[in-house]
Amino acid sequence: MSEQKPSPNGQKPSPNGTEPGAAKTVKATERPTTGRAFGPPGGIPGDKSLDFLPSAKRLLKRLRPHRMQVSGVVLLAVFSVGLSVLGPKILGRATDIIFAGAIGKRLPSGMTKEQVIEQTRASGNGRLADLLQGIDLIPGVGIDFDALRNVLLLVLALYAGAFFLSWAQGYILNGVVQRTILDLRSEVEEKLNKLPLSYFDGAPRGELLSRVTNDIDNISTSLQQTLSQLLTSLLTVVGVVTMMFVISPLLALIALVTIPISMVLTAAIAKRSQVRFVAQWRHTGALNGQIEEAFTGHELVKVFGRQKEIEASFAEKNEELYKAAFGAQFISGLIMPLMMFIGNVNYVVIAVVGGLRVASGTMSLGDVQAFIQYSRQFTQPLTQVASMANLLQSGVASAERVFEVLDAEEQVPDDATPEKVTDARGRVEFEHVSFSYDPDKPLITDLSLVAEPGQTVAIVGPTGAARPHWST
Amino acid sequence: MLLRVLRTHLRPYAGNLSLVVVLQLVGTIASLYLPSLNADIIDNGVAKGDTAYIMSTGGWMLAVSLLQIVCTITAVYFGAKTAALFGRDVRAAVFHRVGEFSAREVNQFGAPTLISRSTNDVQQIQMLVVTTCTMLVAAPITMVGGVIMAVREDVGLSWLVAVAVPLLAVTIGFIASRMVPQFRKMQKNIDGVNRVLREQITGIRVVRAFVREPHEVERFGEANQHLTDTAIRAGRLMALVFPTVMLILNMSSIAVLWFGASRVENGTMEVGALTAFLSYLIQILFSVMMGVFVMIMVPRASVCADRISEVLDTDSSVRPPVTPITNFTGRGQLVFERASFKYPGAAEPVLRDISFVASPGQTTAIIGSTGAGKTTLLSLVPRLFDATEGRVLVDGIDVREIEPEALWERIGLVPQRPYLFSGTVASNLRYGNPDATDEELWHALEIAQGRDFVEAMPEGLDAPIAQGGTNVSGGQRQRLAIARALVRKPEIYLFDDSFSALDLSTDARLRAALRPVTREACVVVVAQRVSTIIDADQIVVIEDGAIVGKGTHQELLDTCPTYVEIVESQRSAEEAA
Repeated sequence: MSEQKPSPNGQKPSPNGTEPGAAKTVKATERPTTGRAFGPPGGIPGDKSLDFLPSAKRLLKRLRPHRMQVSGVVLLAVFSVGLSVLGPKILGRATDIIFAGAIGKRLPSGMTKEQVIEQTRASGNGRLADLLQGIDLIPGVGIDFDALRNVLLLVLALYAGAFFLSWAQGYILNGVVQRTILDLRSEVEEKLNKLPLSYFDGAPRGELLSRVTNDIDNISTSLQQTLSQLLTSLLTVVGVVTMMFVISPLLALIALVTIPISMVLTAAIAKRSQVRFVAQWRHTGALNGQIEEAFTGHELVKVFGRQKEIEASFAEKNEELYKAAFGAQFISGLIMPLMMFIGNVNYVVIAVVGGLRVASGTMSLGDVQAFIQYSRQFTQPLTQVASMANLLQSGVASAERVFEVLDAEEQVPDDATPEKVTDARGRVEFEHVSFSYDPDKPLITDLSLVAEPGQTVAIVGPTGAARPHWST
Repeated sequence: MLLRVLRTHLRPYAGNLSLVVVLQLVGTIASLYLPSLNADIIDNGVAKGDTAYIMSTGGWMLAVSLLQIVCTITAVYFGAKTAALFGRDVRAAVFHRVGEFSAREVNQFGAPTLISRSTNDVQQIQMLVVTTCTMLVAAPITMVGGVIMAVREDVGLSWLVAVAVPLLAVTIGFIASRMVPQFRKMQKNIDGVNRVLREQITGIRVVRAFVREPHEVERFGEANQHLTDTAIRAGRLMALVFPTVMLILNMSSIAVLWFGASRVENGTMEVGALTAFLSYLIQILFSVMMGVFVMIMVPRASVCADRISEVLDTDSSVRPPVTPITNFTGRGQLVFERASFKYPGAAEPVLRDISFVASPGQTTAIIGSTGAGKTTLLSLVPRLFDATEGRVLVDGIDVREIEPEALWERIGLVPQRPYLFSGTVASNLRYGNPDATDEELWHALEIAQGRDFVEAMPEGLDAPIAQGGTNVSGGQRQRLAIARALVRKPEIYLFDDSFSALDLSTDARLRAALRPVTREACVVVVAQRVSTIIDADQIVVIEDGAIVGKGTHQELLDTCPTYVEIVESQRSAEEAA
């Protein structure tokens, strides 16, 4: 009986190389904080996005230009998952052959199976007789190595096929995601050239930069990790459940009970860990803000003798961050053990019930073994989907922020057919020009001025007279 | 480097860590035991038709599962706690160390990278600790335990383990080693894209004014493409990993069944043992894989550890005195005695042989062209830098001997680029003196010519100030910075070009208002404008880091050609009007 087999094609480690179940926690806590333009990629914290479905849909729509390849990926996934899902069942046949041979060898040769069973029953060993009933054996004959070889070769071919298909799928999907992100970046950059200057002045530079760099990177990572995993996980669950029903509806029902339990548990944990992650990022932001100020104003802190004070308030925020980080890590770290526990209980129940059914001859050992492998095979994807939930939410949250930039109002476009200035000599005229950021606070009112070529016009005025705005 | 950082800061939590290891050990053994129990069910329950045995063994399996989860959850608890504590401690250590730095160290690193190292780099290492606690500890235990259990089931097949494990480790290691340089390159490409974008956003006015959009779009396109190409290459390698692992895993299963079958046939192995062996092998391989993947985190964390160690290992060039002097009399006399300052390894000193006396009640002005070393000169007083030769004396005592707190108490600095902290006008002003009353704040504002605009703000003293003071104009920032120094009521005022953002009339009013307040204090003013300093009791003219003239305005006009030059260049502009 083999268990703990990771689901086929499903688990892909995050670029950091950690186990996928923890991928969410690695990426989520890797992101730097609000408003920092430099530093490794990451994004504004995994806030529960405000409008998950519409933004998610919009994000997925961006894959449309590559829909041929996406369909290809889906097709490849279906086949590779199909192959991997068949594997255990056929491997189960191998175990059956071995088991049959092992038992059969012990029985006296020369009799038929029915005769042996009758004999066994007659001698009072009803249980054993039941067991023998269900096994495809020939008394006195050991393992059929020819049959075994054929089965194993078939399985080898299946798994080799699954390997190539799943690699191809990953290969293509990777290209699709990266190109989609390339397009997104270009689009945003183009948009920047069309935005009015007021947009740039309205927000801290680091904030805008963060959207364009960190958030897009976050989308890239999220897409990369969740798309293929989600696809294969879901397909695996469907395939595995089907196989389980094929083998034994009873056992399948037992195994299926774990699905709603897992979902409830995961949702409960995800909700709690989400809250703590948001808190962690908030505190990281606050601490980072403090550090940024203290370091930038370092000489002032020193000369005004405020070092001790600053260290005290730093320690306070640092402590809060520690608590938040601890909480977040702990709660989110509970998912894996809990899922494993459910899987284990499942394993136990199936081993026992399956064992009983084999003993009574109603099921083959190989089938039970395959069943156990299957039940392992579907708790894995469930765990993965659970841990991907956070990553997905984070990616969509970043997508929302990027879409905000793309949706921003553009400045009045230059005239479609601008007048060509054929004889540009440099005469600038201001005709009753007014300007203000805020309608209630005019900066420049009714300005008329002519600057002829060859002239130097000086603009002077007291502090606060809006001189820089002229050049703009 | 990484090991050192880990060892130093994890040491206090050795207890927690040992507990984690023990718990993981027990939990893993419990996991490993389950297949054995299952094999038991098959061999002694199913094969013999003994249903009672099946049930009781099932009960044992449940108990073992419970044990496993209790252990694992407790291990996660302590692992997460330890990692978070570690993060907290390292952050505090870095913050404290930077606090001790002199201006030289801060400038050497640059504030941005110090900030990054304090949070982001620490975060990377913290993640490594968490992942290690939760996974890496389990991996070798699983592997060793798995090997033991597998061998226990059947020694004859153990050669399969000896083949499969290295095969897997080498394959993954190989792919991983190809991935790491790609990821490093990707980081660089990301930096490239960031850099281009940052320039475009920061310089958007320039780009548009000079109609450079097409050029910028092209530049960006290039960087974007490079990044995408690298990312695709890295991703392709990544896509190879899991399928390969699965293939090796599956082939191992096949091998076990094939070779195991003959052993079952000749009676040296039971079927149940065979299936158990199979599951152990899978577990072993899986743990090897987990281990290798966690190892991938190590290079990145290692780079971060290097960066943090760099900061922690840098000693401040300005050390507090061994036997600090705290009590001394004096009212703010400042003496420079042949003070020089040179950056280590520099060809020329920034300041050479500076000697002058600034007495309380006097205003000493320092004038000179840009880059003449004026700011450095002022910085020597509060020991933002230490003189490399000569001495600076406050009230007759070398500043290096004075207790830093006591020294700073006596100084009020208004730096060249006034920096305000996030908070309110009041909180910024109280930086000079946390115990100042509102009256005192308003008074300081009035002198600094800032009362008007603060009163005009709806919240007055409680008006919010954004980080760096970016929500007020340059002139307002300067006035607030001056008010901040005034609130302190120090013995020595150091004004570094503090009036430059003010127009001439505000400048004059301010200096007039300052006179009564600073009557008892020693005032040192660095300025560019002659009009600012024309009434100073003593003007020190600096050129190329050395004093070329010292005296009153009139005296200098007669004796110092450099001064004359400066005055002329400024006056001719006035006279032309």
